Amino acid sequence: MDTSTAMSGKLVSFDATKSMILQGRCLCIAGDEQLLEKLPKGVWIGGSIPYFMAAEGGLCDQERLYVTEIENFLGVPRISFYSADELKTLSTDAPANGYSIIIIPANSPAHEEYAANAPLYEDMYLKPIVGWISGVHLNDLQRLRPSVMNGQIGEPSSRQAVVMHVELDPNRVAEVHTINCFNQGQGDTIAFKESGFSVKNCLINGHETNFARYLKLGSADTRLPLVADYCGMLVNVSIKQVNEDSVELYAPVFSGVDYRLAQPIDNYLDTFQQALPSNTETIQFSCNCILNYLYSELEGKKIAIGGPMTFGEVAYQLLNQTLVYLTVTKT
Amino acid sequence: MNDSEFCKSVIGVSAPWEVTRVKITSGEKRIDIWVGIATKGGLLSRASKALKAGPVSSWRHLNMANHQVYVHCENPDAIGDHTYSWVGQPGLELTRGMAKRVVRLLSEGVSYGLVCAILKLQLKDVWPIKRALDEGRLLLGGKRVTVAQKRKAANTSPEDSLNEPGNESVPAIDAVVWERVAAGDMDEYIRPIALKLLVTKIRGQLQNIHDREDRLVKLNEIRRYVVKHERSLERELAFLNEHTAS
Repeated sequence: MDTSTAMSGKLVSFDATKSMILQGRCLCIAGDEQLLEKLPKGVWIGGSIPYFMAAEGGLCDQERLYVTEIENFLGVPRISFYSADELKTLSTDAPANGYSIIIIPANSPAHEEYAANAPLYEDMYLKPIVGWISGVHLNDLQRLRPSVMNGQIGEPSSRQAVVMHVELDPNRVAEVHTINCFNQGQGDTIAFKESGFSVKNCLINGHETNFARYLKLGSADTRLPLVADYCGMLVNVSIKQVNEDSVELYAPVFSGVDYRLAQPIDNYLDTFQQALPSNTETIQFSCNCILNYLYSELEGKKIAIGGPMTFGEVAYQLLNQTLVYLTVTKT
Repeated sequence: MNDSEFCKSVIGVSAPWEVTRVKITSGEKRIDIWVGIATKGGLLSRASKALKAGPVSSWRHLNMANHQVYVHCENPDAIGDHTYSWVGQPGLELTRGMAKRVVRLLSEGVSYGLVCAILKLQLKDVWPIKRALDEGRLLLGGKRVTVAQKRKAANTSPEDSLNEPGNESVPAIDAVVWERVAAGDMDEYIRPIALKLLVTKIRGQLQNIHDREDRLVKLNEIRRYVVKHERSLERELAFLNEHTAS
């Protein structure tokens, strides 16, 4: 198996990014919205976010862009906006052998639709899908709207997702991976009767109670996500805000799934380094979560897999507090 | 025969219902048909007038002469349990007649995109039909539509529709091992996260599906994944074959 085909992304200047686009290179770009909108048309997609894990460590940078060059593709990747209604065909539109990168503006109709319904889309899970939720500087949450860019037509959107479908030759295989440092804690089993981003009541070990009240009474550390076990894959749902009688989440919980609050982590960096794959050379795309950046205080600290630190990660479906990466290997 | 009589005959409206009005918009290739309760004189009785108090319900019906047809029922409260083909199931925007046509095409293997193109529908109209089918909620002609009925309508055998072409190393869909996969017996052998997520989703859906053939259709989603990714599923295939042979 050839393990030297992929190139990871890097934080580069606006001019360097512009130059790469004009050279006709195929790019996935993360950065400040104003910089993205000034870039020339080309074979690229982008999303707004100023937080990154770069070669020099975790940082917030509104002057440079994080550029991931897409390589080893067959033909020219297809780039499209997808409205909330159109996302249902995402998987069926994807190439038979290849992968799709999706960027969705946070709090948009496309975000809400994808979070709630992606697992039900036709052919979902048959073809690799990775991506992230775009955001803004945390100081600008009330002032700016997260956006994405379709570089092919040079247009931004704060309502639609942008997708790049990448076809691979038959001898290459794309595979989606995640690194989740959290484990389920030993506490109560938490289930929900209704799926959604906002919940009121829950079932604690089968007994109905108000979720907000449960968290407050237990003095729960709401930096720790709810964790569900999907056949051994741990899927996080992060807690956004605990209100008087409701709880807002960064991803929807699903009815019929059992959750537990995560075990606390002593040292995120150490836990993460231990979970890293031995070979990172085949990584074609990666992203991590802004909540890991914040809660684990990653600013200035370096982890081996870089990328934008985002408002949500996509590994087929929407995830939270998880590092997502995609490998392309030659068979 | 005037427009109302023609439409009444074509969409199958019968007493006590009557086509009360027809509007043809040639430029938009659209026909709107209003249906209400009929009386002997063609006018609404006092009783049926009372029923008219509610809002009009509208659904998209089968196309007619290359025109899109919309049916507007002026007395939706009077429909009750009747399953007229020109009426839609609550929560769906298509009439039962149109929904049947959608299901028929899907069961013949026509893609969602092509179904939309053929019937001049939007995906948002077809999507709730898929959801209702997945969840066993679709009522066509008064009965829940099962996979077996869909196949009968499409005149295909279970083998034709369920056994995806694939290498012989992947167990056939009727092998008991697929139920074991859904039950969790293979969980510790599953490596790709896509398969973990898929098996978890199917496991959840199967909790509400008890019909044997409907279960096979859901299990076949797992089999399709295994067939497509056979090259990279050594551990999983070893489990499947070991437990198919035993």
